[in-house]
Amino acid sequence: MQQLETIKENTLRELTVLYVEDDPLLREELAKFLLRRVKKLYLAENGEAGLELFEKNKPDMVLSDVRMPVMDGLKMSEIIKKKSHNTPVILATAYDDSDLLIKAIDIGVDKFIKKPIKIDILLEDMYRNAKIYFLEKKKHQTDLFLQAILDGITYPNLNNIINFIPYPFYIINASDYSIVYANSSASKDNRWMNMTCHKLTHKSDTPCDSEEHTCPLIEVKKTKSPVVVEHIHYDKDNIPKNYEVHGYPILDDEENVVQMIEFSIDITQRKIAEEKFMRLTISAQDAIVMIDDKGNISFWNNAAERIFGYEQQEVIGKNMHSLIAPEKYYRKFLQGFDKFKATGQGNVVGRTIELTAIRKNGEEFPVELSVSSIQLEGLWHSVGIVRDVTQRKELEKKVEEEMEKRLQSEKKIVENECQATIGLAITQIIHGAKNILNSLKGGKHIVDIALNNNNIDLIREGWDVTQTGISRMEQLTHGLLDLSRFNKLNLQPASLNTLADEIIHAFHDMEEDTEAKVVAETAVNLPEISFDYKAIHTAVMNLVSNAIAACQEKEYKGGEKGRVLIRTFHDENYAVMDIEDNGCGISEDEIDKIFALFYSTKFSKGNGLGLPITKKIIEEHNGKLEVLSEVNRGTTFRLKFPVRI
Amino acid sequence: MSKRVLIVDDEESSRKYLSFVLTENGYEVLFAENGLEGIDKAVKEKPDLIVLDVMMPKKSGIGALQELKRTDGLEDTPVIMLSEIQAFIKKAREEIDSDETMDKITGLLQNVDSRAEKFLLRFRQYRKALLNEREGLIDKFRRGEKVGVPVLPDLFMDKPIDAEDFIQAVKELIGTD
Repeated sequence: MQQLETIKENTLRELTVLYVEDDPLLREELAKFLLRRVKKLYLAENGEAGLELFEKNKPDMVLSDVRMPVMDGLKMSEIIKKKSHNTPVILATAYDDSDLLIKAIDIGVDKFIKKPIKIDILLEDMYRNAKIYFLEKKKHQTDLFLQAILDGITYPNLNNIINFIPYPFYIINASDYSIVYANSSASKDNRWMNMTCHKLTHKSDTPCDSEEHTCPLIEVKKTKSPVVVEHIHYDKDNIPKNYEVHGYPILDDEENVVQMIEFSIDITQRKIAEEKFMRLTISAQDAIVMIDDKGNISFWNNAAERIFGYEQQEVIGKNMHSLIAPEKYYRKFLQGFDKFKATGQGNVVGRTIELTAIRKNGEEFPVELSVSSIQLEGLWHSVGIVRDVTQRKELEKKVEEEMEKRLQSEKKIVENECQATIGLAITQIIHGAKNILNSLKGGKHIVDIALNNNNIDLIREGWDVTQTGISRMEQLTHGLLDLSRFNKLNLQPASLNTLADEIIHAFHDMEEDTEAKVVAETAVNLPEISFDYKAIHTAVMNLVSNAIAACQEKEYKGGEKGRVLIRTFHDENYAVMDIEDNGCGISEDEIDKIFALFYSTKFSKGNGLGLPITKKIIEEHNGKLEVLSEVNRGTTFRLKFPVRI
Repeated sequence: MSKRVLIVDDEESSRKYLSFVLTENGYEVLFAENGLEGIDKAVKEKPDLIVLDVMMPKKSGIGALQELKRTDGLEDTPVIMLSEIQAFIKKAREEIDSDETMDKITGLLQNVDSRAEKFLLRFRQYRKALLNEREGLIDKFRRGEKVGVPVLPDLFMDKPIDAEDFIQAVKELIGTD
């Protein structure tokens, strides 16, 4: 705003103004204000006096009252407008008189303002009219200048000006192609003297007549109006360059072309750019399609020919949408197109979108389109870069299908594994149950016969067999229950040492039977931890039972005996319990399987539930269960419980 | 002299039960707690019938069977396997590496439909003939060429065992006296 105000003020400061007003008070008041803002101010008290001042000083602008003695403002304006049509006239009037208005328009009054005059409105109007006035004045001067050239009048300094303009400039005789004038950009050292235009610019003894080089003079003579052609001219340094050659006819009174003004603009750079552009568009893998403001195709590169199947000459000037776009996009396109024509903006401009297009053979295919806009001669064109993504889409689809397939097969594998696990579980449970049932059935059979024979000893024997079955049934049921247990742990602070002592006590009586000694080595500094005593008891008992079984499996030599050691110690953040045996050990093949459900190496004595249950219990305590084993040397199970500090 | 039956089973209650049934019916009973012990006893004692459990420590019923049937003087000793056929195949698949042998075992066991055939399977010569016929190798057999014979028990009996079925099977296989 600041800037605009400055421009306005500066424009007004260039202005000389005639102000005519019969009321002295009003006149002085406004004059005082205007004096500070314009270049020069002339004051008159009526039309006649105003006219006199106008003749004498030729002001740029006239500001006048209408109703005045001697000569009114309208009459004065009429005379001024006749003499100098371009001088802006602003009339101030207190009346809303339509007759007056019509007459004023006829005369050519530029602006009315209402009395009492509002200063800011007046200044705005003055500025606007001054702007137009100055522009026209400049234009008039240019016209005069051009007229002077065309008339062949030597304008002051014109020769100099033309000589030093950077464009080659010639005047050529229409009859014999001889050069009448050439400036320094066209030819050095007046070499042009006594030369024809074709000799100077083409080094040719005959006028141009090829299709690439049509002679502008012949054209001008034919059409009697200006022409533009492109030529390769030798410049003043004898270097061939691309020029855009403008030819203007100079006509005599009978409208015959007598001479031609020619000036050339070096378009070498433009040509290089064009060449580059052409090469780019030709070599481009993507179709480049330009449409004009009517939606017709104005550019079509090689890739477009290849992708869409239309030759360039088939499509130029044709409506792009009806040719290559599916109908479904047409409505949206129309909605946005008016806005685009006006502003060069649109929903798709500057973005990359995915849609489909249609080839010549009718095939619809996926494309990626990016649109940009360019303004050419005031009209908005759009340039679309179209990439055929058929292959990519197919690839994407294939990848997707492959992924889906893999996902499905993985799902199936997981399902199968799940079913296999369930199947195994059921098989194992049935196997366990069958053995138990076998004991029960055997017990029953023996007891039946004993009862028939009244044989008490036999009943005892049968009852023994039955009890074995019952206790194994209990084991299996407990095991399954432990495994599927979801109840919360009953956490109490206690020492693993207490547990170790209790367990070795339990095995104390059995030592003779089991052929394996169970001993404990407990650390005095072992911190107490919180754990579910019953659950951990079960877990450790499972491990100790396994250890004893491992000892039974081994044939000891040289006085060595089976031994199970329960050792506790404190290891940084853990309270640790090792259950170590010197039994048969576990082979590498088996060590991965031992935690699997229903996997048992103890056959009839194991149900394959012990280690899975143990592992579950330890993990519920946020502990770790580790195993280290060597065949025929022994196995160590390590339980690590975090100590909360 | 009464016929002798060797019971190879790691489970004590099972041994007690079967020995009770056998002694009740006038058979003499020998025991072994695992496959290794079973083979030792069988070689030493030459029993008339061997009853084998499948799942046993040290040597399973499958392994014991393979060895027994390859031992001189024990080839034709009948064996009752305490297992269901499918469980036996599954366990055998874990222990026998040879695909060829496994194919033969499953081929023989899965296609046994009639009771007669099931019963006849216990005879080694018949088994051989059956196998060779199925493979179209009768000629070879006639020429007396050695053909690998898959090791199969004479009878499968699944636990829990019915005392009467068991004693009937034993009688069928080795008679009473």
